[in-house]
Amino acid sequence: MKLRDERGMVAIGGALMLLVVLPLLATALWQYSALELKNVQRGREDMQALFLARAGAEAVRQAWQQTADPKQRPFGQLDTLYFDLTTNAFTTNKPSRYLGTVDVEVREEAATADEVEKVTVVESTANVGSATRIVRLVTYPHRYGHQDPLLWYDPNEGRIPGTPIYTARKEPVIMRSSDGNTPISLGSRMIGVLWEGPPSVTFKASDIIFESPLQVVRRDDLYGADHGFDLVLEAEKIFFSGLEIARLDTIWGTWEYTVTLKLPTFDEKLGLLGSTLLERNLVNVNDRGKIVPSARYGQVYFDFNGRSVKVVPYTRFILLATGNPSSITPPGKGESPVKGYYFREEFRFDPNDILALRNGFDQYINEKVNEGVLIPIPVEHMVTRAHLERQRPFYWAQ
Amino acid sequence: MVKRCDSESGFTLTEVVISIVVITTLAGAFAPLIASSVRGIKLAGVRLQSLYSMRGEMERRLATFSGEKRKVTIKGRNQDGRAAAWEVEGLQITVSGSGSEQQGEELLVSFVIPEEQPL
Repeated sequence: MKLRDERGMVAIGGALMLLVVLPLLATALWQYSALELKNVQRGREDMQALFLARAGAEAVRQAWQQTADPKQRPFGQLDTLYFDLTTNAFTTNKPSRYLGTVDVEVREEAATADEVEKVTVVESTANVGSATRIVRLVTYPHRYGHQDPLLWYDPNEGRIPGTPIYTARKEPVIMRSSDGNTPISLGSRMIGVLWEGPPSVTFKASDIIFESPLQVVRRDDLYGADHGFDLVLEAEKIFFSGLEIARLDTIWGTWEYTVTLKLPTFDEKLGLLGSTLLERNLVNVNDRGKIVPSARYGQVYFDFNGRSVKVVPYTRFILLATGNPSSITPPGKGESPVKGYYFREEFRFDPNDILALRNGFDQYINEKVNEGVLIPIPVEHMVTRAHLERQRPFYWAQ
Repeated sequence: MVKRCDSESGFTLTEVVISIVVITTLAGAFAPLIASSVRGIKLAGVRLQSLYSMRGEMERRLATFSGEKRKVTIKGRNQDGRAAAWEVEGLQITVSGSGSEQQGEELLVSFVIPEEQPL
């Protein structure tokens, strides 16, 4: 065979081609493989970073929420958290082997363009290898019933103006007048102007927390009264810090100024089913028989700490306030200053019924308890006002 | 005279042997690289699958609050600007993967505060 033999040259040429193509193919395959492995590695680090960031945000949110005093809450850039692979725990001391780092910052940001309302933001940044993930938890602004867009009452006078439709919020709403002691009450326009249909307005929120007393009607406003009025509170949990309903006897009839408790519907109806109360043992043994499994129940609390729950009878043209107001006897010394009841969907305090009873409000409550319309909440299952206020939810922001 | 490629006569034994030697040498040289690349691609697939199942498991545990009760101490400053520490209790959730450990631990870790059961 001669090397110059063209047939041999073809064979050798083919082999030489392979010499070039095969390494190229092998290199491409190797690069693809390396890239795939690197991508998976990055994906793993990215996922680890995401969950670490969420861990940091959750931990700081809890620290923020469990601290009742706002001044003691975490704020600003916090110390770096590490996840120690040796002890399998989070620590602020830098360990020799760690999965990643989490840096959390708590700050306030303007919630609206006018910067009147602020939201608290918990921003957590996690680093694992070359991956970085940032997650944000944001609170809703601290919402009072008098703030925009609710405008349920005037904070200085405490009076509810004559707006027929009010905005609803799926979050706890705090009802507080400017000085805290001025009661929140129906404005004169609400009880002095003829309404189409039953005179009534509804405040709707997930929870309604009164920090000021609710006095449905004030004596001064009764001069112009033309009818009774029902203030409907639609909320899963309602916390009263003093409540006064009233009845006015006139020559045209008896008018009631009262409160109705209802359960709100947002995406779904809030409140707990009776069957859930029974399953979770949330009621006293003696009251189990009164629960209707298919009915829904909300919660109403009366804080007697210096505040009363009563119904006041008024008589027009003779003497404005007549007769004795009927009050619920406050808890005794050593007892919880808060009485709590589950209320069955749509419960109305009826001033007529209360005043007709020999022992007034106490007897009325007892009767309602016997009927199963109100069910006492065992002390261990009660929530506090502070707890409700802390329920202001954080949500994950992108 | 020029021989045509479609000539019926074949390659000589020597030519064939040389070609086989060249190809074998080449294949031998690159076989480990190719094998390793194929292994790598397979491994990447397995790890990716493991990672997604770990993520699913982590999301499930976060949603159902199934983890180990742990305390975490957070240090920093309060709103008054003073140094402070807060201890929070929650559930630490650790999900380990069944994939290869060659490139570090297949481990996902998070921490969640169980929502208080609404009454």
